[in-house]
Amino acid sequence: MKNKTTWLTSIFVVIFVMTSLINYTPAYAGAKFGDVPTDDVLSAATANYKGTGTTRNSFAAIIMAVTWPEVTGNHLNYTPSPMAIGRADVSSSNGKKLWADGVVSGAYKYVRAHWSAGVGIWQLDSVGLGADMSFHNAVLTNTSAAVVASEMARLYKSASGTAADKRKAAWKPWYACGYHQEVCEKVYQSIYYSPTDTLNITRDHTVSRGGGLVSKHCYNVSNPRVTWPCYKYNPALAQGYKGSWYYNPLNGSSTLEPVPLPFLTYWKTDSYGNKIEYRHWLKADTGYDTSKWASRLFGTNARSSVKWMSNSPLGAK
Amino acid sequence: MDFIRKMKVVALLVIAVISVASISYAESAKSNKVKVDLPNKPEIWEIHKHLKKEDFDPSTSPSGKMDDSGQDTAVRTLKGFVGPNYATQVNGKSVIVLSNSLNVSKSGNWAVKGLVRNETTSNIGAVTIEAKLISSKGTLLGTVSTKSIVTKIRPGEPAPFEMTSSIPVSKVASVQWITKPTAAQDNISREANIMVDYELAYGQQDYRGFKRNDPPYPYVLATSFDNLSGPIKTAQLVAAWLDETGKVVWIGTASLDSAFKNGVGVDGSATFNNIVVNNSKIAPMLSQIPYTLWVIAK
Repeated sequence: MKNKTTWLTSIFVVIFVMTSLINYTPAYAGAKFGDVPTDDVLSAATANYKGTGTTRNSFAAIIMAVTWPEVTGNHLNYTPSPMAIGRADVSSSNGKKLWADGVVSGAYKYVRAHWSAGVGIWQLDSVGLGADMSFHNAVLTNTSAAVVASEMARLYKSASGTAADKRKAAWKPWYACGYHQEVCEKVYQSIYYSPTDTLNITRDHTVSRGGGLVSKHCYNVSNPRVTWPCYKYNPALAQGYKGSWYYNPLNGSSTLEPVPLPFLTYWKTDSYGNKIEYRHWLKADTGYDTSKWASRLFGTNARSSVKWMSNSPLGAK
Repeated sequence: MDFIRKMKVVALLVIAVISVASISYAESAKSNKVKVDLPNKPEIWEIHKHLKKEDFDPSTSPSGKMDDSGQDTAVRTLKGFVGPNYATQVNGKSVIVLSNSLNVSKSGNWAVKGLVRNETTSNIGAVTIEAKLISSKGTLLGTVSTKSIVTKIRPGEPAPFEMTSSIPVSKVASVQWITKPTAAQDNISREANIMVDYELAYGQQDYRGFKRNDPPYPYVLATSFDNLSGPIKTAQLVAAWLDETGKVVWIGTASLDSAFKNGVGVDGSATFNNIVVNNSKIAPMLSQIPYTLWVIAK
């Protein structure tokens, strides 16, 4: 009798497990996300989820949910590119300084020395959450995830209502999440399975933390012995999905920002204590007749504050 | 000869006196200005406490001079304020109307949008702005008044106002301005890190590849903020758009998104309801001109 009961119990367990598996069919089988970027999001979620009432994995899904709508056209089978740059912000309400020398024209000879506004898989922007970050901070997924996770946790914990209401509040700053954040909610439901508290993510080992951003050492050509860390951004080398931002016309148009040619970027504090972000387009990389360069004071909107210059004295190795 | 020599001495003395007087006047004029402490935002690693300072602080980068001119900008990003017209020096005495900001109606009844600035050395509350409308014959046509929308104004800070009258603008030859500040209230906080989340141009049917679902596609400004001090029950965003000459062309306000109806705690953040402008005469220009933003919390 005991053996029969055990046998029947086993049958029921097997049937229950199989039924559960059949019922759980994610809408997207393993949304793709960079390998190290996944670790970076999990690390940022670990640091920030306490006090939200969610789990670490649930909060990681909230953080990740924004990225596909923002930079892959919401295709979950494409991996968000850390080197993604925004192209659709052609508003000139706060200035035209994103464009080289402030000249808004695809025909301008330095047009692809362009200060892109939205940067990285969360499209951090100097007018918002990216105001006090340098370009590389917005690209590298350890630093960008850390800022995004903190801001989402602040919003989530401040909001009232159900968990779904709080998720909506945390996503509202991202336009791509939809008017009622329904786009990000769908992504969230696809990448997070609450009964087992698991993330449905396929790690893409071809996409690194910087997504192709290359570490360099920069120097002033008048004194090459003093070097400092900098990064080289070359959109042609971007890892992950590029189809949503790296397309023609690369020079931009009235409704499209240009894709920048390769540039060197770094940050500095000047002798006045100002924190400044720099981007340099060297002649060797652009083919221009001068090396264009530009700077932005931290905390300011690039659209109005970027200062454009020629004859960059920068070198890199 | 003696006479000529005496005249030269007199002339030199006169020149010397004039020079000293000029210098004194210049010094006096300079010394009348009082430097104010700007309410600078905290560092990003102070707002987001889990960040590693070394990841976000460029002062950790070795020195290598590239451009040491020092960047200043007329557009300031401060606690509870983003925009131009925030002075670093004030006259130390009064609240002034910024005449270049005044946008007076061109037809119909006299109406105006503009900015005042707190030129005292203390925080003040709301400012009552009074305009005495004078005819070409010097007679008083009427007096209109309003209060500034920002209810705690710091030294050097501008604040928008708007007023209307029932007097035809064609009859108004000049305006006499009077400003009366009220005392600052302790329960009003300006401790906010303001962020613009996105801005949608009027008539633009899609944004960043997404079809908009709000025809006839008004102008939209979406904003949020980090609370930088104690708990607050409510907050308001005030926005003013200035044209290329600095005149105020539109003023809008937004309350907290309903998700934050219970207020915002310490280390909390919140979004505002979007500012939506449908006015077809004004809305198209709003995405082409700069905005100034204020956050006032209680």
